[in-house]
Amino acid sequence: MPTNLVIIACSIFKYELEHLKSKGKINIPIIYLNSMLHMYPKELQELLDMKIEEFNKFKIILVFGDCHARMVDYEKNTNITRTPGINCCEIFLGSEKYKKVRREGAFILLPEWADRWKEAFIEYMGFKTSKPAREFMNDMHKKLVYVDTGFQETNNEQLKEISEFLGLPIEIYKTSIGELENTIVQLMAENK
Amino acid sequence: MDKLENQRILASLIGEGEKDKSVDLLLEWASQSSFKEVIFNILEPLLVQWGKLWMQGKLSLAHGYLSGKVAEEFYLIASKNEEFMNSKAKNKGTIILGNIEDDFHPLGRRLVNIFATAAGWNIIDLGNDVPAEIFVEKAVENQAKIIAVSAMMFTTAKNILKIRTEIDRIFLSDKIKLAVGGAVFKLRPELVEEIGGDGTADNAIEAPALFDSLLLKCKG
Repeated sequence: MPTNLVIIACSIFKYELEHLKSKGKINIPIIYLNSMLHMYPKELQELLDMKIEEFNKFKIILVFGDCHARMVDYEKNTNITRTPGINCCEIFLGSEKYKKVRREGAFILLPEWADRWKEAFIEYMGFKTSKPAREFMNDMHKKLVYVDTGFQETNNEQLKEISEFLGLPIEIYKTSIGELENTIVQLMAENK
Repeated sequence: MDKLENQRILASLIGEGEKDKSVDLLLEWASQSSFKEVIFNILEPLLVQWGKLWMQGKLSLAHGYLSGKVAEEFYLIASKNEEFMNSKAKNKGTIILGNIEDDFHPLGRRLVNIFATAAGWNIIDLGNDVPAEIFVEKAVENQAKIIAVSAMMFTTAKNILKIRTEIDRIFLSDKIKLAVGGAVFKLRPELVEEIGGDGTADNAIEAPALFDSLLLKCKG
């Protein structure tokens, strides 16, 4: 195991990275930051700065999109590399698929956020009831797209509940974690 | 009209997610006084306060969205009121507004549309994910003196540079000014110059003042 290499990742990737770890594809420590920080970029930056400082003797792979104003600056440090992609959805789907789905007016829902949807929409975004949430989502999007990353059972009841609360139809987009796996494996090899 | 008490009542209703009741209440107050009085004494002071809280990350997305929607609907109704329309600034010119290519965060842009329209600008809103050349093409076609572009993230903000390049390429930098906005410019102010912006505003409600100042810099 490379002892001087660490992954710092958004928890949106937790299920998939832990799966890759269990398969032996990742053999380095992974530190997660709460994906709800997506709504608080300044706080995300502060926490991430602290974590990077804590691991300043390590080579670091950041598994994040361009999630705060100075995210790209980390890559100027020789010990830091970052997964390419504008956000977690693009990192999962790849640029072409991401843009296609986004241009269809989709709000893309990843498995971790699907499980934490009440936390995300009610607690963090502040939609206390379905009515304003529906209005907001229908104003901004045409549909929800749940990204089934292919190794865990889809909770259809939960997806129905989310769809009803947000007032948008939901589609399931089946994919694999191949895109993410390839990226991580390549970054680990480059940083050996 | 007790301005502060009415502001408190409106803030509470929006905080509870009651958009329609908020608009109804504003209309009731407007019928008792005028649209102008309600906008200047109740709605806009609240929007200024919330705009500041929003930029500090102290206002929820739901609250930011609902306050924008209430303002949007009320301004729309006010725009059909002759007395109010006579009292507001006359047409200052056309602005081409949009989110740059690959950017899908419309909230700030829509608020800019509301406030700039209320301030007397004719806004052509191109929506999300707009390629640079379309901004310039529309500006030339509509003789707009300002292109106002929104981007949320650094990665997408870099695409605005293509608009700068295109404006310069056709020798219109004296005639078309480039206003840029979005969270990333607040947190990374040097980016305005890096991507060739002529100016930015801290929040949507300050955007009309920016447009006024840019208009003064236009030649011809």
